[in-house]
Amino acid sequence: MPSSRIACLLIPELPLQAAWRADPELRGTPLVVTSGTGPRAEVIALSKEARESGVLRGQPLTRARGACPGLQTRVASPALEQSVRETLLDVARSCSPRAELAPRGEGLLAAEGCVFLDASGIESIFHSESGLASALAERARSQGLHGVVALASSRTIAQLVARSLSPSPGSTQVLLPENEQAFLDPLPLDLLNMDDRLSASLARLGINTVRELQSLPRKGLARRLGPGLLQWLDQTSGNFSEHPLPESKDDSIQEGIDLESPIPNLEPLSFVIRGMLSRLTQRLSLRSLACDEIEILLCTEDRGRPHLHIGVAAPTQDPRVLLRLTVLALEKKPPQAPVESVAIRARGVPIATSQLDFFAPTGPAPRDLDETVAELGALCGEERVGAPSLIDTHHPTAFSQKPFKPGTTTPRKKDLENLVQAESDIKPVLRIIRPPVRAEIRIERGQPSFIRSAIASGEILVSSGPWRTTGYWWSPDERFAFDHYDIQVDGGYVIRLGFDWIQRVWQIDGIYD
Amino acid sequence: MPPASSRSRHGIAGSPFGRREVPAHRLQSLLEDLGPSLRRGAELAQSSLNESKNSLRPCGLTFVDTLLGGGFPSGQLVEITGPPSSGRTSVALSLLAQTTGEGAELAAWVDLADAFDPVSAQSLGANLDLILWIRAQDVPEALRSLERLVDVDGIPLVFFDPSGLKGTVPDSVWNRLSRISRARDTTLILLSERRLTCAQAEIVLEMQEARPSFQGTPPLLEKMAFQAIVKRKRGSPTPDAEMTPPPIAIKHPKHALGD
Repeated sequence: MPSSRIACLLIPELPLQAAWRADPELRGTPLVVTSGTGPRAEVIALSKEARESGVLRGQPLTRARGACPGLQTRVASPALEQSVRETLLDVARSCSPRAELAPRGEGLLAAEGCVFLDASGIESIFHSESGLASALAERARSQGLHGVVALASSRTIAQLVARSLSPSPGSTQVLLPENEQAFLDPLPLDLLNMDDRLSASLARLGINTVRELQSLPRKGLARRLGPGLLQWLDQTSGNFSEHPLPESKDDSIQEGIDLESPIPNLEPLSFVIRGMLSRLTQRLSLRSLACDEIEILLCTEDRGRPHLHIGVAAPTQDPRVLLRLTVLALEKKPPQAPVESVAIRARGVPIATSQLDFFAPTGPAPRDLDETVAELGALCGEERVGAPSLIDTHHPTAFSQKPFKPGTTTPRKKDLENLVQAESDIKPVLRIIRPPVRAEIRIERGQPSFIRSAIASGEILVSSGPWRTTGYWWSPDERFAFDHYDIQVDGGYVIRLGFDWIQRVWQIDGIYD
Repeated sequence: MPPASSRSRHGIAGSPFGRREVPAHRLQSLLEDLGPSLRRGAELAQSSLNESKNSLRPCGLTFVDTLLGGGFPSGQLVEITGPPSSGRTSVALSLLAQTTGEGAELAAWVDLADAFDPVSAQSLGANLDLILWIRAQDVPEALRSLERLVDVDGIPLVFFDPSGLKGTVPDSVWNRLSRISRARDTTLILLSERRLTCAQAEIVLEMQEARPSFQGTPPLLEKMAFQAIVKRKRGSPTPDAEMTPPPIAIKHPKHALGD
């Protein structure tokens, strides 16, 4: 049975990388991420430039500013860091269906993001295990994350190797099972995520490396130093059975951000959302998915949590389209108080392809058309945009709209019969008045003779009718009964006039035009 | 050696610097060699005229097409004005039917008036599946929809029915829409009771009061005589061309007396 192969993608200084990912222009500047905004806030992550200027981790922000006058600061955002962790998972899932985020580390290791993926059998896709490692590092870089990749026979060993590489981002290491022990032996125990008490006990005994740990006699070890140590012994020697990595079917992707100061207006908020949507679509693209639905979750200053659902008629990866839809939705339903945090959740679906017809006229690209319809739906309301369709009823004003899916239609040929009929057979053309306008009618000899209404008033010169239409008599809510007249009013109007027998009122249903 | 001024008369194909001359007989033989691949200026003008005719959209109503010189121009803003019952909707729906029915092309109808009648459109031969109907609720919605639609490649015909529009739309909006429709080769048709544009419309077709004809006993509305005037046609020497077509017969719908 072939041994399992696990790849580990590790991102050091996660809060810093999260800040860089949200604002790439900060790269190359002295930057620190702090625990808060007040003067007592501490530096929890810092860039190389800040370190070279004398800033230290754990230093109060005021002292750090004193050490480096041009220091850039960002407040740690749990939502942003969570997005980075999920991005790591997306990177892993773009290479292997089985992937899992590593549990969060403690102490110094708390600032790292780590994901494992099952690399067994997929090296042929990337030509070799080194190719897989390089692809993982490259895909992470494309998402704005600089990390290291290690391949080994178990999660613990792969993570240990990755941690040993973390000072040099972008590096990769593939360890064959027979070389693992030799690589692990000199590694310091600090790289293991041991609890502080156990680490202190081992340090007191002068045990600092993996080799020294493994040379300890197992007998009585659990009684003297705790049962956790035996587990570490097994894990570092590869004798530990790990549960298989899960396969996820979840195709939703979320991006979040905690704002340093609340945003009261829509325009600056749209700038924030634009960046988030850009990152979101990059992640979707990584997994070959398109966005089918967006959910905007806002957290406002008055502790409100408004959320918006935005349906996307045509799944898309275009951040501009998603931004337009989002802004339109926010314009229609703006938040009632300044916004403190934003989260955007997108549902991903596989990208659809369509085959165009050679013989049909060139129409818009299907994706362009769908995006246009989606935008119009967001602007005017989805129920007010679509193709007109006829309902099988005699109701004079019944109509419906269905989703606009034109498909392919070949041009209709004009037949000879139609040519002969030409203009002498044109059907009545009505402008419907929705809703119908009430009218007052004077009747003489059973025919309307005078009309007064908001549309037309005056003597009725000619009247044709009545044409009675009834339907749905069995339904008290839907039944209708109309008498219609085509009338010509003094002044030029030619009107379809109706008498509603249910409400017993006269109304103008339309104008012949 | 002739003087420089007369040299250019003989040496047509000579260098512009007058250093070398081509004899007239050689030029003639060159023209004969090129033969059919050469076209004279008049031929080029005629072909250009034919191309412009190809980019016309006939509406199928002979009197309107004749009046407009073959149809509605592609990629232009055209305004059809007229009071209610003057026939502007008939003209617009006929154009819609020609485009979606016989042409199988897409069309969009931005309906601020909420007056579009699918039954009428289908009865004229329109393919409803190819019509994108937007029932905008206010002017900003309608104008934003219009701008988006005109800017999409592949929707060659867009109608805007703003009847009942209160107030005026700034000229800059029509300028912008006109410019976009020209760039995208989209015909934009405005239907209104009064003129909305100033100089932006390529053509303004004004429909006059129609004359309905009720015939028979009991009287039935069977014919309506329409009258149209071209109030404006860019580049036309006689903008106020007028035409009264023969009356158009109207068939009644399926309403049955005493149904």
